[in-house]
Amino acid sequence: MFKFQNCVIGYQSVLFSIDELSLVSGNVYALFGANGTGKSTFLHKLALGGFQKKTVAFDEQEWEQYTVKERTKLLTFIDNKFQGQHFLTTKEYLALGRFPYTGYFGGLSLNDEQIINQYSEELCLEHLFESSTATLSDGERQRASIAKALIQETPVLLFDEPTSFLDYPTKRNVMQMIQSIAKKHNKIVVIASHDIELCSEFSDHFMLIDPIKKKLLLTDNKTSLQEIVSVINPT
Amino acid sequence: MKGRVYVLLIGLLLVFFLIALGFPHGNDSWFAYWFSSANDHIVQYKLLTVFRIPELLMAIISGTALAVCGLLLQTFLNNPLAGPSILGLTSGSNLLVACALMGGSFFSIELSSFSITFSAALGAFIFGLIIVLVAMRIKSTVSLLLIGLMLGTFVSAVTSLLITQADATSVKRFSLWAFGTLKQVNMEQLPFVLIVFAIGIVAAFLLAKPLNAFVLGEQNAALLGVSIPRFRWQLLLVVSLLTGLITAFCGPIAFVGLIVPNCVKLFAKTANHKHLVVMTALSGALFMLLCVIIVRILEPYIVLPINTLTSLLGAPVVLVLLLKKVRYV
Repeated sequence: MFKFQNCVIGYQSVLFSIDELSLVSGNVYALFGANGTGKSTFLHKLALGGFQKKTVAFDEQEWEQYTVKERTKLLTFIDNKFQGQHFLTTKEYLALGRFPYTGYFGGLSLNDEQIINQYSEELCLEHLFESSTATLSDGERQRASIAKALIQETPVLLFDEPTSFLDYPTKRNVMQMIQSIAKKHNKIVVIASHDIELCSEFSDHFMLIDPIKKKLLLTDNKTSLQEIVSVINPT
Repeated sequence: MKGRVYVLLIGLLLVFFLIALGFPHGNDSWFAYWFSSANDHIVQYKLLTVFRIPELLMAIISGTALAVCGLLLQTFLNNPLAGPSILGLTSGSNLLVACALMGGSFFSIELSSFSITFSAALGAFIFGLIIVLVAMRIKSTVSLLLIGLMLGTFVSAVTSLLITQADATSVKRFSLWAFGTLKQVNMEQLPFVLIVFAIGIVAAFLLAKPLNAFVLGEQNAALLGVSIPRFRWQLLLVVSLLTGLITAFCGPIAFVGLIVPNCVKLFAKTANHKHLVVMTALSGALFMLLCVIIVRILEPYIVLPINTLTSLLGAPVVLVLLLKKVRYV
């Protein structure tokens, strides 16, 4: 469980602050906010650290006290910037999910191989193992990056715009997949997105960035679209 | 699959080594050392140990070292056009060796091979640092190459300035060195070269795991737990040690670090650096042996310095890569 208390997001200036917030396993949290209100900054800080002391805690321990290595076993950040590398095969890409667990030379143990196969099977990626990540379709690549995150076996998954570049049916597929993963594997999932309509359908809670009060508000998924929009884009 | 590639590479390496070793000199027969008459034997033996073996070993060492440096830089900078010579690391070595040679003759100090290697490695390190600092700000592939070019131009200006001030012997020594040759190393220097080379290559192999994460870019490597600042220093040290070593003993050899890793990646179809480092090392050695053989074949007609040959082969490859991989640029 992630706990935030009087936490301030922003580098030089304050983008927004969180008075009190708990993120609980098995839930999907959608993070909505206008451009430049600090969505990506928030996710990056969660992934790479950099909060003020004693404002963020994970499982009763202060987040900033975890080492980088420990954090890679707790949290994965999935961005949509990966466009594939010509000589990187999908299998090798998925295997990078085991990176924090492998030894000095990065060799995969039998257990690592089993984990890779298990999640690849779950997301139907086995037939793509030998193909180059550059030739995957955008949907397949997004599926592969979700699988890589699962292979990393972290209790927290952060998604930055998981549905961009995808067509409508694939978008719905990906969101459905993310939701079912959160339930089945009991993960904390945070999705930052501009696709409010779609994300709200598949999330349990909304986190709204209010740009006037500079606060993060947590609401349940009964909140209507109009209300969301009026909070994040006040005119 | 990968096993077959290794067998092929090692087999070719052996064949090329034997061809280069036995290639007839002048009117001699193939493998003249073993088939020479008794009174000719001493001359032939000298030919083998003084010229052939050091040259071939240096070909293998320099090809391996430069190709591996190229691979490390390409993955680290996420730039298929990176390489020790094109980014100006070789120029850095060039500059400091020129300073050392001319300064040495000015103060009339005899320079040991260790001090030349050290100054060459230091030069590569300083210029590598400049490139890394620039690369942190500029992500464009071509801009980085332009900066490497500028460093090279700057160095050639400074060295010509130094040459006008220096005395005749050091100018001669420097010009000979700057041609790039594999023949300047003798049997006494070989152990030193081999030891430094072995340290560099083993260190490069130890960087394979973080390099695998770097295939996904710097930020993703950090997210997978690679300490970026530490890795940056390690990589820079390895690359400048190897580049400095080769530049100190063979002079500037261009483009090997650029061509070989790109060809390997084209055929290997893997991003696992445990394999890529080894394949690149073998292919680099293969490439330089091939260059030596080409030089031998052309010897009756023209004398081709090794640096000229690698540039002749390398420049078109850069052009092809630039045209093909527009996406990265």
